[in-house]
Amino acid sequence: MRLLVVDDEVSLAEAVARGLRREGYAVDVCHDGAAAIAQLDEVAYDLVCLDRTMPGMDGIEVCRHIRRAGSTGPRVLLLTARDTVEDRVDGLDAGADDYLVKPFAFAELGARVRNLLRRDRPQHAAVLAVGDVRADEARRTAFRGERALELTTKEFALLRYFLLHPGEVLSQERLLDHVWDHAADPFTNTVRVTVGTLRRKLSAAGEPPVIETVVGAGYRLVER
Amino acid sequence: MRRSASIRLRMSLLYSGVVFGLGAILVALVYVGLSRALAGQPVTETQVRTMEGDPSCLQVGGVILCERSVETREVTVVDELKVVEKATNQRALERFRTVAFGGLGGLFVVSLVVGWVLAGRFLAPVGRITGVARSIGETDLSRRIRLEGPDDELKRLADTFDAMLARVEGAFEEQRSFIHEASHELRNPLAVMRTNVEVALADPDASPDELRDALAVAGRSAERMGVLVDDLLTYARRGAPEVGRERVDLGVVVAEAVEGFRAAASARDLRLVAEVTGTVAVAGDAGRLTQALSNLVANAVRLAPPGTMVTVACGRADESGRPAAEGPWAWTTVTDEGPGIDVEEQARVFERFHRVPTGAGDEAVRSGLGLTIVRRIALAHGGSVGLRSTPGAGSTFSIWLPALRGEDVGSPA
Repeated sequence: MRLLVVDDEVSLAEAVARGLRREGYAVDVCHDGAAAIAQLDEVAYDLVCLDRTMPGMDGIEVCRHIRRAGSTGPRVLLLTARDTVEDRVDGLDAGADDYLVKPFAFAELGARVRNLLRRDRPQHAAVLAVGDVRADEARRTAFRGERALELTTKEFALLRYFLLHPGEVLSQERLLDHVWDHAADPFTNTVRVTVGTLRRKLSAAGEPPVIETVVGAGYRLVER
Repeated sequence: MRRSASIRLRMSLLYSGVVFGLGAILVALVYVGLSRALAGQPVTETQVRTMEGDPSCLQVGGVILCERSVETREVTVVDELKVVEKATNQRALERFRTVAFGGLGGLFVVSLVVGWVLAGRFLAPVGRITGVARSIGETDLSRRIRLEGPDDELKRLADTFDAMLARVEGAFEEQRSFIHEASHELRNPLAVMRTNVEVALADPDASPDELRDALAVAGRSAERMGVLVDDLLTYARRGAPEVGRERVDLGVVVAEAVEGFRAAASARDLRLVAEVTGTVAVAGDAGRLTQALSNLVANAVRLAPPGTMVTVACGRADESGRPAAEGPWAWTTVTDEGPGIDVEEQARVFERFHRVPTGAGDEAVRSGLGLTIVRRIALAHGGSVGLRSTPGAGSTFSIWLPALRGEDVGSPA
């Protein structure tokens, strides 16, 4: 899951990004509306945490830009210090999916992000499951059957992306775009390495493999 | 409504009392006059006389009585007629009294009713004003009386009331938007603090450096909130900011403002220079003026690029702003060699909580009220503020104040 955090308060944006990265998201940060739009045109983000009031181009304008660009754009979570009804209506009318008033509890921000990202998937449960592979996003735990998996943050993020797209062939580029942030070097084999360790951990007790390699195309999570 | 009803009752009582009193006086005068007139010259004496040419006959009105021994009869007739006349007069007066008292009673009742109705009509606008005043809650100050009718005392009262409501509504709206903006400004540093602390605490593997960073951010945010709260209090001390009227030398104000920021300026490798020539006297509050100038210097010292110069100056100017030793205006300016301010931003920098998109300075300790406070202080002194800026070449912020003329100098307030 690739996220963009936009806030002109540099230390707030950095803290939010740090917290979200620890929850296994790939997070980029920018500090004004124009940079956000340039970034959004470049990368297919899954969700944008957008500050409403920024000097120059504000969050509402960025939100409208995202919605003009097409219906499959990222989810938008508006972060704002303004909390009147008119402010909320404005924000939601501009195309925001959710609205969170500053100062917020980071746990709530995390829950809302999970909730927004969940809306795209067919089953609406808080626990992702395909076959006997399960991942609990809120607790950041994963299981194969009854066996708990010890996953790094990146492996967890990768597993979550697989679980969100079961049966789909996911290319290395797509995984790099959605699971790694722009700090990742696209020319390394980091995707291949991480998929490899995740696959090993998933079958460590001799279970049948669930991540298949589709030669020349990418990887696929299959139901067992 | 009780107050208006009691006035109505008092007005109708007063009205009917006056009408009744005047009626009573009139009736009394008529009665007295009538009774005097009736007692004064009995009709009998003027109407009974001996007929001319025949002394044996008496003429009473058109009736002629002829008898012998006229002398005695005349006396008898006259006496008898007198008795009758007296009785008639007595009765007439009695009838008059009866009718007059009845009439007065009726007048009292009628005047009471008329008074009640009239007072009600006069007081109807008062009831309307009361009703509107009562219906105005704290949240709906938009209602007005808008009294129709002639331009009389009550209409003027209602109009005055409307004008007062408009002022109150304006002040209330201003207050509300101020609180709204202020809470918004307070939330941002709070959010920075809270998120940083929570994210740092939630990480069990956070290194001491990471924790220290989070604490440093929280500390800066707390400092920023402190400045904001101070400025909010300064700003909220309203009611036409009280300014003293002692004689102030702007040269001293400049020196104080410069002294206060010398350390901050050298920390950022800035040269802070005071340019004062002679005495520039104004009437005002030295503390407030120092605060205003300090706000300007603080901005310059915060934003000017390292290695540049910040100049604080004061002087006098004529009506068109040209330097003039005995001009009517005193000015003090802060000039930096910073990035300057875009033309479209220049008009708005003095607005409350306005944020200039600098791209940097995000972490800076600022409240968004500094320049607004400067403008307030200048206005309270009967002066104004100004800004000249060329993007890329620096900005000059100025405060203009009415100068103390030569003869005023040295006269303490």
